[in-house]
Amino acid sequence: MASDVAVAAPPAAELSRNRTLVVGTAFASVASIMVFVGLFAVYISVRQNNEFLVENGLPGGTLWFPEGAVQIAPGTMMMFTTWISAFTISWAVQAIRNDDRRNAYAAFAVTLVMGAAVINQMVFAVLDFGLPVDRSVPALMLYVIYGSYIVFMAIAVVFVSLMAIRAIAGQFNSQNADGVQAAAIFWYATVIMYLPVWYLITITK
Amino acid sequence: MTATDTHTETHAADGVMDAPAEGDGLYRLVASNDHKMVGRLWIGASLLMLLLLGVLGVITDVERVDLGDTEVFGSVTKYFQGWVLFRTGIIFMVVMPLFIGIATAIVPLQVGSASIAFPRLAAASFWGWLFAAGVHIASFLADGGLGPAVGTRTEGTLLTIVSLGFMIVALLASSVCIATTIVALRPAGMNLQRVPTFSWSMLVATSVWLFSLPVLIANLIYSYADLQGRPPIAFGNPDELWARVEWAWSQPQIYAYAIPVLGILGDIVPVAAKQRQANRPVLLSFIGLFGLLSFGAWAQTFLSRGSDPAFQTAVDVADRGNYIYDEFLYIAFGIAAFIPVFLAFGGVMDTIRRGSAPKPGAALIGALSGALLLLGAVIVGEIRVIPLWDALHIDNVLLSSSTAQLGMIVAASVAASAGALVHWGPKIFGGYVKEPIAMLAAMALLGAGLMLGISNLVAAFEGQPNISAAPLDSSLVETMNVMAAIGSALLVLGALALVGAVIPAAASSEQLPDDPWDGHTLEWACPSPPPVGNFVEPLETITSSEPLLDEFEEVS
Repeated sequence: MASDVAVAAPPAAELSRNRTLVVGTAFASVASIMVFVGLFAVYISVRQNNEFLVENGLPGGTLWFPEGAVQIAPGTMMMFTTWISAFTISWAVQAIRNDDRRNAYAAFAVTLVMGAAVINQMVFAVLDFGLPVDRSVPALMLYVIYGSYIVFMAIAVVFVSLMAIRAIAGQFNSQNADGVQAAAIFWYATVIMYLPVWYLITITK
Repeated sequence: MTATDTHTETHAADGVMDAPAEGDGLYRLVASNDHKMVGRLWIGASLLMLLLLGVLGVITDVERVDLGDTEVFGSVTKYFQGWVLFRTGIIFMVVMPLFIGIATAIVPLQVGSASIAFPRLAAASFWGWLFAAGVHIASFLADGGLGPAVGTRTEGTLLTIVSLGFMIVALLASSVCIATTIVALRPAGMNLQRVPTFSWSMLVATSVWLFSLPVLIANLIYSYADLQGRPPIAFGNPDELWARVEWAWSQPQIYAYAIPVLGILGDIVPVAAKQRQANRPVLLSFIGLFGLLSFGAWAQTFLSRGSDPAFQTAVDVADRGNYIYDEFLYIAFGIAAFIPVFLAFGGVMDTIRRGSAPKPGAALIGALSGALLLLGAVIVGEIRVIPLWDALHIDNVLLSSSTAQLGMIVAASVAASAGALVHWGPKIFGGYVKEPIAMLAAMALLGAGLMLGISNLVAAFEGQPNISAAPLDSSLVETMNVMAAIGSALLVLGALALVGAVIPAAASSEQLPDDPWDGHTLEWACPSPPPVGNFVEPLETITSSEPLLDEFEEVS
């Protein structure tokens, strides 16, 4: 008889996760990217105007960067490093989603090493430029853009480190990977930010 | 627990109410991250700043009455510093914080959330903003400001730049909290189309702020770097500092600060008219379009070749290329901005026409005044960009009329906020805002906006420059400047009346009904004032944009 059958209570409905951290980080990442859009817009406009003056032999035109001051190899290495780090942070997210903690820790470690490498390479490049910041507008803009990028990359490294520590403490798993996803979103934003830095400064100067 | 902690997520739709706890006394004031308390702090601080900066606005306008000298400030430099402080302050210490305060208190209630997203960040951003605002004012007292070269100190200028930057960062952090609440903390069934109009307008506004104001931060970074350790060579030149950031106080960007005016109008009018808003998705689209057209980070003077300092000395005028004001996009944005405001206003007016004749309360009058002034500001924008004045040899219209627009936008924002504070007073303060005094505030603010707009526009046509108090042989300009000074005084009067109307509500301890106005949206489903966690009972799945009106119609 049906009344004699022990009926198990249905499982509690799974709470919907609202993903606040992911959404909030996405908004913050957009704002961060817009800082660089603003920096690049000024850089491009000053450079275009300078080109016009130089090409027409008008006063006020200035030599942009001296030959050899901005070398292609370090900038391109940084570009590849950031793009590889985009894959490694994705690896971390995927590993957490699969509850594969060993892979997640490895991915976090590799990502953080790459972030530190980029910061290290950038600081080296800033010290190595030797451009006259006291009288050169292009040099001033170069240092501002590189300096700003170092700051944002440092924030990304701290964010990922924090989430890595929380992952090690067991706060993230296949059911809740929001923190790691949020850190990854900000990391992707820093990777995107570097692409125009590389193209405008390293390649086209 | 950190700002990135995910454990305080709210699940209002699932009946889980997890909200920050409140303390007592001073601790409650300083340490609380309850969104109603944080919202009240934003509102209170911004109203006090409005009083302070309103007085400064009166003084700067009085200085312009007699164009021949600078008797009040004592020097052109001091006058310019006051002029700049009024502009930086009125937007970043009054208009944006006021809307952020109302939104911090109301948006979580409107979207059925037990809390704002990142409550600790929301509280921290208020205190960070307050500190930066204090430093910003102090920087002007230390001979800072954004120029000119003569009479300002580099250290003071650096302090002005840094404090302005930090204020913007704090406001953006709060914007992230509000936008995230709207996107991520809605209950089941409430898609974006069903979000109340004010919340929608805040989503549009915060998105535009998050896209545009970081570009202003980029400008400030360049200027700050250029002022380090040596005389500036480009971006930090004190004579050009203001021109490099002026876009943030000009159209189209100036409209971005007033986007919530349309949201307030769209929420108050249907309730007052006891009528469902027809074609609501279209209204939301117009607000979104207005937001799109108010994105102004691209309209920087110095991004156009005509304004480049290097070109000023090296290239003939004819070969310099366009100024930003001659660009097609600038003219097109200026003309197009009128369309969504006009149509949104018309749509809401149609609701009044179809509804029962609404009682002209302070909430309705405030919201309508704000919308009318916003409409006036975009009409001034149309007049500004018409490429006719050069042909008619009427100078200065484009540049000088930005003062007219600023006055109208500020008055529009404060008037609409006055309406919002009356309407949502039971939820924000736990008491009724005094109607007659609030009505006086709304009327004074409407008068202030009209006088500031008309007088400054006429003075612009008469050739008065935007900034300087340079002498002009025009009695009409002097009359208009008297009118502008009276308009600024009305702004202060309106602010005073608003503060006077709000204080009794904040001090009230009377028992209020949950829904004193027969509201349509979710905030009226919680007690007045809302307890911690906001909603006493779990919310049912939302099936329309006016769930309470549906319920009322079902019952009746």
